[in-house]
Amino acid sequence: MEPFLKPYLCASMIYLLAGSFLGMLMAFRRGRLMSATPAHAHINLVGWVSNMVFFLAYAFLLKSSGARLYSETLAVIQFWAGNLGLIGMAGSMYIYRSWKNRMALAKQPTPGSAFQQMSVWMCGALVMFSFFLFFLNMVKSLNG
Amino acid sequence: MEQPDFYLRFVYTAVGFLVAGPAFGMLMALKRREWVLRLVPTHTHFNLLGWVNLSLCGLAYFAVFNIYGYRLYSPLLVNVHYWLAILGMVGMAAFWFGSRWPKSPIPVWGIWVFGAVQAFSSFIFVFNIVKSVSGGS
Repeated sequence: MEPFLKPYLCASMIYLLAGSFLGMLMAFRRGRLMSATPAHAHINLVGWVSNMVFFLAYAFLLKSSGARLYSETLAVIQFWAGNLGLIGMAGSMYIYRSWKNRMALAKQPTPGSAFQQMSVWMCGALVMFSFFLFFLNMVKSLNG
Repeated sequence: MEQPDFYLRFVYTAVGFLVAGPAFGMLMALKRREWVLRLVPTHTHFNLLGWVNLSLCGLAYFAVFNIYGYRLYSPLLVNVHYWLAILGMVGMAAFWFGSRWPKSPIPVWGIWVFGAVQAFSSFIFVFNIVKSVSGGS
């Protein structure tokens, strides 16, 4: 297996375990951990599903279609941008949601929400950037 | 070495869930109101765990064993993964649907129990892939 592909496979499986465990914990704690819903959804969909789809797309591209990968460096940058963005996004989402819910229960305004929303937005932009790199690498490889 | 074809079982089952998941969605669109609330978790988890998760597991098995030629660590664990994933998902969906009716006698803890079965099946999948890849081709 190409060295740059192993991190995609490993990361996707780690997110699968983390996302499933978080979901199980949410069911166990019932209503008390519902602030984790966006983090649970994004860890599973961006972490497990997207990383595995990237791994499969690169594997099929390299082994089955006979096309040559345009840039391995882009694939490595894509991996780090996507995963750092996802960890930041899921963490910010959970902190923002639980903070907001706690403040709503205490009937108080949420201080610092603009900063937390900005961090969700910035990490989300990093994830979007990684998706763009995948798109670019695939288009260049298939047309190369 | 003969190429394993058990990934097909995962893909065929996933396609079955691709029919069932959207059928719940259509039912929600038809019945609306309280049916939407009762069916949302079942609909999302049938689509995501049934269709997306099972087909990705099948394709991952295909890529690791058929494309890269790694030797499968345990065929038995593939079977255990398959049946536990289905049991966990269907059980979770049934408890979710049943417990959302007014004054329902169906306990909510069933969701957690079958969720744990589903999470355990994911652990078996990861364990089998890691053992196979670290064992070499």
